[in-house]
Amino acid sequence: MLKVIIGILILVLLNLKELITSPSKGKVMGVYFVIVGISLILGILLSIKKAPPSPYEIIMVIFNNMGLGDE
Amino acid sequence: MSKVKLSNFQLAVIAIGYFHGSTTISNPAIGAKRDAWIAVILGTLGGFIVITMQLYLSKISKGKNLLEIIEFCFGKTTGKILCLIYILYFMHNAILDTKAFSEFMVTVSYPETPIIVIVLVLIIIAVYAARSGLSVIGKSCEVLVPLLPLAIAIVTLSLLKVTDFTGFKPILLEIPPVIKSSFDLVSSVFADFIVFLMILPYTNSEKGRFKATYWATGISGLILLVISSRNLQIIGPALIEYVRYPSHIAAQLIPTISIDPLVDMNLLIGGVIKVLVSLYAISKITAEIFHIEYKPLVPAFGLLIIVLSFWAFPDAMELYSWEHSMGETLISIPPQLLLPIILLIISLIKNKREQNGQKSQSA
Repeated sequence: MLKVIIGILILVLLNLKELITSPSKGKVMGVYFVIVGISLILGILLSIKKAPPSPYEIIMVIFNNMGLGDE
Repeated sequence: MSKVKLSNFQLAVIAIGYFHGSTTISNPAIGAKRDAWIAVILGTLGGFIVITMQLYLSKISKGKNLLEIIEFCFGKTTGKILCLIYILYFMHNAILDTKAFSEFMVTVSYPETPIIVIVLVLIIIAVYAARSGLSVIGKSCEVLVPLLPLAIAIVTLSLLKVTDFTGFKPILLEIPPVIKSSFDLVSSVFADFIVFLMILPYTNSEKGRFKATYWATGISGLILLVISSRNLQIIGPALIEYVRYPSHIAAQLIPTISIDPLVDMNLLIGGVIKVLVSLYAISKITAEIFHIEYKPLVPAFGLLIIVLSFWAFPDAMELYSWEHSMGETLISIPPQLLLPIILLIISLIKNKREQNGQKSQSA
């Protein structure tokens, strides 16, 4: 978990200058931190092995139930 | 709109690299076994039809990119919501390719390297190139893409001695797998050209776009035909179904020298181009939705692709079962085929109305 947090923190620090100097920094930072936030939460959940089922698993289950899954 | 201009040659090489993607290592037409070459020919012909439709959509939209076309057809609010489908779809493509690339590298070339290192290397290259802009992508592809057919030619010619051409017979014993494989090929290789609607407005000649793209499609089809026929003859129709990476196995069978790193090189170039074009399109669409610069978003989306690739497909088997399920084809149909057809029809109707309005005003 610590590795994930440190990794993402380094990425944010590397981009911070560009984010601050951006002409529309409010919007840019908003979008940027939403994407990074999703990655951080998912990364932490993956690292502690408590990630929810992936969308692909759900789609596969739905298609299997419809009889369209495996060949 | 940006003043970046791509030459038609650059457009063609980016398209070849994009089509190439991971198809050199796991050819989607291989499901047709000994008739894979027929599936490739049919798939390429199908690809020409889908690509013509997408090019025509770009042509009648007069310099608009995908987001602008969708907004023109559906209005600002609905258009932006529909763009989310494309953001998710391009992300899906990037995730699939990132995972295919990293699993191949870990399984075949670097078994002791942690998979995260390989994924990081791929994404750092893709982020760097996508941030540098289209002209850098175009120039890099000009240098790297010609190496793809060269590497394939070296591997194929080296294997000519061990090729048994009786593997093609009997032809067309089963027709449904051939049709399914050709649909898979269209869906997973050629119909992904929809992402180029974010690039086509930046080409310097509208006239040459069709020609350049047709050349790229033809060359990609030919490359796929050579690879699938070669692998079929080398490995044999009975075994090919059970081999995960037929091109790599085929390259390992070359006597006296080891040139299988050429297959890895092919994947490296094709995989990076596919991921970076998808990453560029995702960042560009998102930035245009919010009217902001796209460059700061590229690393954030790169990070998201890394995390999602581990979440979506924890191991190679998950990826394999997804690639061979109907799910892959079914979720690709709306963004690749249905929406472009709807966009084309609406654009034609709106353009006709505009022309009629102008005529009545001038009269």
